[in-house]
Amino acid sequence: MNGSVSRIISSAATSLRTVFGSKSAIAWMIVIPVVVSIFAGLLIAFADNEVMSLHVQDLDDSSLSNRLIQELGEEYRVVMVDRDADPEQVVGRDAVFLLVIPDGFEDWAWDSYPDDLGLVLHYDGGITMVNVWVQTNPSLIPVGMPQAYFDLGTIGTGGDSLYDTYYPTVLAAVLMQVVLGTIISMQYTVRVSNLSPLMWNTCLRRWEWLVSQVIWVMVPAAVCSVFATMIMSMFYPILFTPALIPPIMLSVVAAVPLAMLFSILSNSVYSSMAVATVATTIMALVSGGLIPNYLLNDILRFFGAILPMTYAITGMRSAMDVNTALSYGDSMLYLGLFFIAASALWVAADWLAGKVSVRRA
Amino acid sequence: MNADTVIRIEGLKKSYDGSVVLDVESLEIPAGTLISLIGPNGVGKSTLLEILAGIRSADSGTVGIDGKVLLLPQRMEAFERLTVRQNISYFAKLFGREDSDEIMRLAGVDSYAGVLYHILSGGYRRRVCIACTLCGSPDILLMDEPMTGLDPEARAEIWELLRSLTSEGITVILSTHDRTEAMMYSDAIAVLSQRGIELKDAMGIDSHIVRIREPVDRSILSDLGAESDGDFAVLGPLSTFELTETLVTLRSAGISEERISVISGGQR
Repeated sequence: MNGSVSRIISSAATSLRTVFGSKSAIAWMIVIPVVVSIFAGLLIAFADNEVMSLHVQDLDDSSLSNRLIQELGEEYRVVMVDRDADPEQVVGRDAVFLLVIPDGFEDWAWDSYPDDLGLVLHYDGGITMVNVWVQTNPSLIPVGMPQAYFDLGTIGTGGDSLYDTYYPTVLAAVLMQVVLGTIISMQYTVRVSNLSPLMWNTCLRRWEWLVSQVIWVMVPAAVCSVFATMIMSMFYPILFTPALIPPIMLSVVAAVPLAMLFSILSNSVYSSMAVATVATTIMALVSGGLIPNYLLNDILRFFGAILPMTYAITGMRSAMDVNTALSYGDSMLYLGLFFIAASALWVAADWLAGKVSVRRA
Repeated sequence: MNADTVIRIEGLKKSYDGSVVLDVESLEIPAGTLISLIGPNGVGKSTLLEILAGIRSADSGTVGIDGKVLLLPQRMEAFERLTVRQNISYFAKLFGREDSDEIMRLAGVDSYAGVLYHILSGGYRRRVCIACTLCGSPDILLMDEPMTGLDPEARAEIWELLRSLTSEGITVILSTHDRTEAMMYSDAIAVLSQRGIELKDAMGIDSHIVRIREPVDRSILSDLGAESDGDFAVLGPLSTFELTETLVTLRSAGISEERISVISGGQR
């Protein structure tokens, strides 16, 4: 075991020296967070509001629906939609999120608990949607009586503000770009220089190399996280909670075997960087960070569910007390599972790639 | 296996898609020797090295190996952004050794210890890669075409380095396309062809190699048992008597003296 520890530390130090010995790699690590963060920061700073817009169509038009709209107005910028409007056309033309309060909403409430509404608004945000419902206040329900709730449907995804929504997305995208890029180029170096046959067959096990890559990549990940957060905080007062650190670190760990897997597709440093950029862009799009997942088709949602950035963003939003479908712990669990699955895939693909190259020799 | 034999091969066969690419009836390689595998592309030089290294399995036959084998892959490069010392220290640590300075001295790169790998010449890069492999303390060092891409001076230096490794007791087996160099520097050459493998002694002090600038009539080459390595047809090693006979034959075939060169064993 001591031998393994020594080999892992040596490999991590060698990778660090290699990357920090390259000016372009350092620039990659610093310029990308700065540029992306400035861009995202400008978008947020010059947005016309800091609160998510929610279009509401009130078909009930009752005192209770008005109370609900008033409560929603404390968390969203509510835009009322004419009750005769076609909801599908409204969503397609003006709104991203549309909440329809159905006719009979107040009757349901009175039928359920005529004495005391004790109305509480709930919304269960998530990767793909946010379910909204109203519920009688549990503390006012007599013992033995069931709770009643009225599900108002889906209004979309996202946090309470642009900041909650986009800060985790920007940070996750920056991290993934840096991690994928640097790891892929390291992997490429090892593969094209034919180091791997010498190492894998004699002095280093694949799992030792994997662990060494996980260790060293924490350094550039920390550097780029700090840069991205510093720049973003120039545009918006970011509250950096320590609970953000685990999802950041776990998403980096989960990205390592994914990058190793991608490196098998690369045949030059430039193509490896291109693979990293394309992969990051796709992940940003299907992770529910930039585009609400419910707008995506089933195939893209599936890809979103099997990529680490989705869970990194969800975990960071959970850490920032944004309502999400997955809890903080579940997001961390999924990131861990992703690491295991991607590691197994990389080991298998690398072994297979070695066999194929020997076969072609 | 004899006491001084480190590799013994019996009835080794390897086929791809039904066609035999390697067929070695019997081969014994003594310890501390420099052996060159020569032959045209596709006769199984790399395959044989990879089987010896344990990367590839044979279809049939037995391979007995006495000692630790390491293979230096054909296009191996060390880490570009690290110095010579950092590269060799890294591999020394991977192999659990502490004496990277001694390995650098053995490989003749100690005076370049602080130089970044990517600014070294091709010959010194190859030396660093050999040093990285030496970190594994091999008894048998296998190298797949280590001279590829090097200029003549660098090739000569690498050959001398490999000869010095044999004096340290390391058996070196390499593949090459340069028959002349192989015969000049090796202790023996293993000639691979479709017919199998034949181990020949390389040049002794009284032996000679004849090189004839191409083109040469194939029938003359066939009669003399010569093989072409591209620009030159190469004959040998020949005894002094055989050399005289060969030169007479070449002249009677109308090949001018300007196209013929003779390398004698004493020139190594």
